[in-house]
Amino acid sequence: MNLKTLLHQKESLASSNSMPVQIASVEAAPVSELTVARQRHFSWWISGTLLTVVLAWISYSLYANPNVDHHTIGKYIFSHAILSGLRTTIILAIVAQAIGILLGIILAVMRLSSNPVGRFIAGAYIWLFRGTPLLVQILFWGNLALFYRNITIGVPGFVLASYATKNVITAFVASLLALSLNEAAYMAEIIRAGILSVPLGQTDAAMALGLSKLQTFRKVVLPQAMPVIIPPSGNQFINMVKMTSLVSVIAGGDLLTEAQNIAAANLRTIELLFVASLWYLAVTTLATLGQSRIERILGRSKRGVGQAGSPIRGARVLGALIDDHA
Amino acid sequence: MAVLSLEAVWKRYGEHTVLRGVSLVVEKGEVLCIIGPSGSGKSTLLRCTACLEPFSGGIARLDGEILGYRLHGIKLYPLSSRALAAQRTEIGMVFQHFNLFANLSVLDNITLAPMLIRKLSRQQAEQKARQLLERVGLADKEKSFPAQLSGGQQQRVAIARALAMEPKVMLFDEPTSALDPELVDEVLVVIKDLAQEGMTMVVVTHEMAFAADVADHLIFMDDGVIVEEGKPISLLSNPSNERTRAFLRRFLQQNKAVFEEQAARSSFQALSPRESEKTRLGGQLEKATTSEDRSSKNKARRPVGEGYNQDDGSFTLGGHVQIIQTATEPKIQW
Repeated sequence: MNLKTLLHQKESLASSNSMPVQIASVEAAPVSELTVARQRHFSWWISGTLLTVVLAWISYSLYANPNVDHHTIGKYIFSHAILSGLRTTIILAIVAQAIGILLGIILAVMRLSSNPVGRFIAGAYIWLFRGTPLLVQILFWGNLALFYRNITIGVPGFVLASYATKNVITAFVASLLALSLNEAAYMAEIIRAGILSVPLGQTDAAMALGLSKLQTFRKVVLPQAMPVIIPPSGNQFINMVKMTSLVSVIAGGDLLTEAQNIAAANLRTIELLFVASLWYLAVTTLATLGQSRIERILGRSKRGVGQAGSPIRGARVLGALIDDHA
Repeated sequence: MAVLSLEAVWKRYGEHTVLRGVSLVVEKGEVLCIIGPSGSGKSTLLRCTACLEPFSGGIARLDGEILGYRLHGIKLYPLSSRALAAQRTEIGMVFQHFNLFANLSVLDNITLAPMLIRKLSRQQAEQKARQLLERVGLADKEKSFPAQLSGGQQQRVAIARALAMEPKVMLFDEPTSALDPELVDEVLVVIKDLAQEGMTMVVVTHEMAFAADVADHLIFMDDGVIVEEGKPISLLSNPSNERTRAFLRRFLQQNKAVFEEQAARSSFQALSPRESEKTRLGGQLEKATTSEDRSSKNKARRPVGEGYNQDDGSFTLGGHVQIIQTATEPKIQW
């Protein structure tokens, strides 16, 4: 079909529907001088304004609420007890996450091994720790002394050392055990997915060169699984920071425990929840920044518009860029 | 003496039998090419020989040593992973999909195994790696990562990586099947180079003209058995088995003219003066350039005449191969 018949069809279409097809302007100027007019997004303005108004109203009502004493928030936010709780929270999160990763690697390898006993044990572990609520697990560890009075090292008939459970498993140790053992179950699944994402040919090549299984895993498989493992691990850590607040049920000495202790004394419950929340937000914000930095470093090898997390990609996935010439 | 020998090897995956009693012998310095349709067991044969999978039956030997097992009385005991890894270091494997370590640079890909297993210092390993990169024509790529290289370049690095372990035998599993047509030659040139230096090799390939060119011995496999074997020229030009003929039909048609011409020429029982001159000269050249590893037996195996040019080892088949007239021009086209 040549241009002439095309124009003819458009003209007949225009006359029949009385639509203003702008063939005239095409003919009025050379194509090289045509410019694209900016598309107007009235819907953006309306929805944007509406959302802003609602948000402003909620913020004001929170701020102007006479039941919240701003002075109390300011007084406690840098208090010694709160800062010590914050330190415990951060230590708990980092150590529990580290143990979770190490144990997770072991569980993931067991789950992928050819040894059926190893596979079963790892599977059962993951089933148990993912299948029960973390809060319940924390309560179990915190009350361990109720069903094991003593922790004994030795063989039956010979005791090497014996300790009272309540002395060994302190609130902090119980918190750490509960958080890290629970985390290991989740990390195992993340690491397993990362290991499975490495092409089989990589292992073939390493083994064909004579590398041992352990050398293959350390030098070839794990480094290549890392880009798949790290982003969800970052999410896990951010979650972990918040999960530590659950240990307040066994008085784990974390941020929320300290906040609640103060609130129990001065009855300023809401103000101290604000104090705790501000600190949780600060820590998770830092962790998020760190995570996106790591993701950027990892994503360096595959540059481009398609990179996860870029707003252009988000809009494209939702089809926005195809409709709007934004 | 045979470097590699397989005796009645079988391979089963559950109900499915892939290899049904394959036996073959590869002499030192010999190049064995294996052709055959997809699913005929060629790749499985190589994978099992490289100790990446155990055979279900039969025995494979490398330099007389049984691969994968220890013989005690009349019983074969599977080797420990440690002993198995030691055997794998003696066998170089080149894969269809290159399988370069994606997390390592070209240089690190080559030095990894020599440093971990042969306990070379980084300096020694890198020096050797650079020599090998030079040899495969990629001296300027040592800092690149596999993803930054073309398929042909990746495959040449993979060959260098395997050579760095100084294996007794090199196995090539369809080394050019995953490449763009224009990149095939750069890999074949490297393999041919190795063949001329006397490396013992087993090459699974779909490049018939290449097989005709470099192979001392050619095997046609189908359905897990060796259907036909022989000298490459005679097997390719005049297959005796019906199955082989069917498989080679397209190749034979493409090169019909060449084969007919050869048949006519041989019936006259006379070579032109130029031809005989070339053969005589070729014999001298080969003596001068062939490495000492190459046994005289293999030289005798090299087909003379029948379109084979001893000057540069090229072979005339239709449009695929061109005779390069001067021995001083080493570039060969397939």
